[in-house]
Amino acid sequence: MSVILTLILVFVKVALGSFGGGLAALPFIQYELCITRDWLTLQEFSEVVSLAQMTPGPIAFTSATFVGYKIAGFWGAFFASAALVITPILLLMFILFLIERSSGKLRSNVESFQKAMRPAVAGLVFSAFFTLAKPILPQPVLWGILILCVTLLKLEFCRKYPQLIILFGAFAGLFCKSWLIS
Amino acid sequence: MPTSYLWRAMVNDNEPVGNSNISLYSLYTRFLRIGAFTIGGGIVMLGVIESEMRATGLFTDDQIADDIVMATAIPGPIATNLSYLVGKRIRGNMGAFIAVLGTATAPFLSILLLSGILLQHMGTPLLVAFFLGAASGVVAVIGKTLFKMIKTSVMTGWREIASFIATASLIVAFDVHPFIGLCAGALLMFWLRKLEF
Repeated sequence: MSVILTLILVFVKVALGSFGGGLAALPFIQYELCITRDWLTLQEFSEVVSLAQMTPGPIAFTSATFVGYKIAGFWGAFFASAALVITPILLLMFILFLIERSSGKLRSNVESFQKAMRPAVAGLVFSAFFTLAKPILPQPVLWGILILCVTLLKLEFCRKYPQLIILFGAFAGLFCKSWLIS
Repeated sequence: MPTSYLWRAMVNDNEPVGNSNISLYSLYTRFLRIGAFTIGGGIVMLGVIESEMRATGLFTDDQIADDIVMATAIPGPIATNLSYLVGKRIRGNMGAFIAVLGTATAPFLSILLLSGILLQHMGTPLLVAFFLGAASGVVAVIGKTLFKMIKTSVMTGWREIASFIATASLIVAFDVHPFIGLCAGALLMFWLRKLEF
């Protein structure tokens, strides 16, 4: 039971930190689950992200579902996902309430606030990128797949459906299984 | 200044807002469809929800813009934030709840299904190879997003670059909690802005 409570707490924190979209949630998930508590290994985190990218739904949400399920079964998945979704909505209700009270001018402030956050959010995404790239670096075969994926992303079609690239990478990985260093 | 639809809705909770002809059921299925078939993350879903909003013809451009700003400014998954706002406009608080539920259902169920299968085969060399390959794809995709982000939001000024470096290095090099890294970068940005004046 306390596992579920901790899960909720963790994903409340993740929800509050993920400014600027799902990718920004990743460093929070990684910190809380891999560094603060040994619930996920780095490799497992990478797997969560890969899976989240391949499936429909916001990446932060699907990560929460998967992590929750792994840690505590169905209810873990349920409460982790719920915490992730409900927390921002509560915050949203509160902010809207404030805006109503203070005559609309606050609204343009929200927009400029959001714009000012962007470089820091880019910093967050960078940290997620760095973390995910680490397992790839020691494997020359993966370098090859990575370069292939980057090249494929130049295609308009692949830019629209990035999950195809990830699927492609996955099958390429299967294909090159014997060249992977264990 | 006219207070918009949404703000009034927050205050008068019992007042039915929007077109009550859209039943809760069809609201649910609309968002269910969006949630199930939009792959590629929150930003994509934002575009889809936006075009759905315009398609209903119920909302002004201002209202749509308001919702998008709010959904992206508030932390959390953009898709569910936006679903809440749009659902609220259509059918009030109940609509908001139904819309979020609709968006979340398909991803939630599909992950549950996959997780069961996945966790059984964790660690087998086949799955490891599969996921290592997938990870390469993920790095490529996120790398591309990151590159675009840096081009549009960071390389625009020295303050932005400083803010970016602050957050990135704190988290990556100094193992700081991402929230602290984020705040540090944001505060730096606000402070450096003030220096102008």
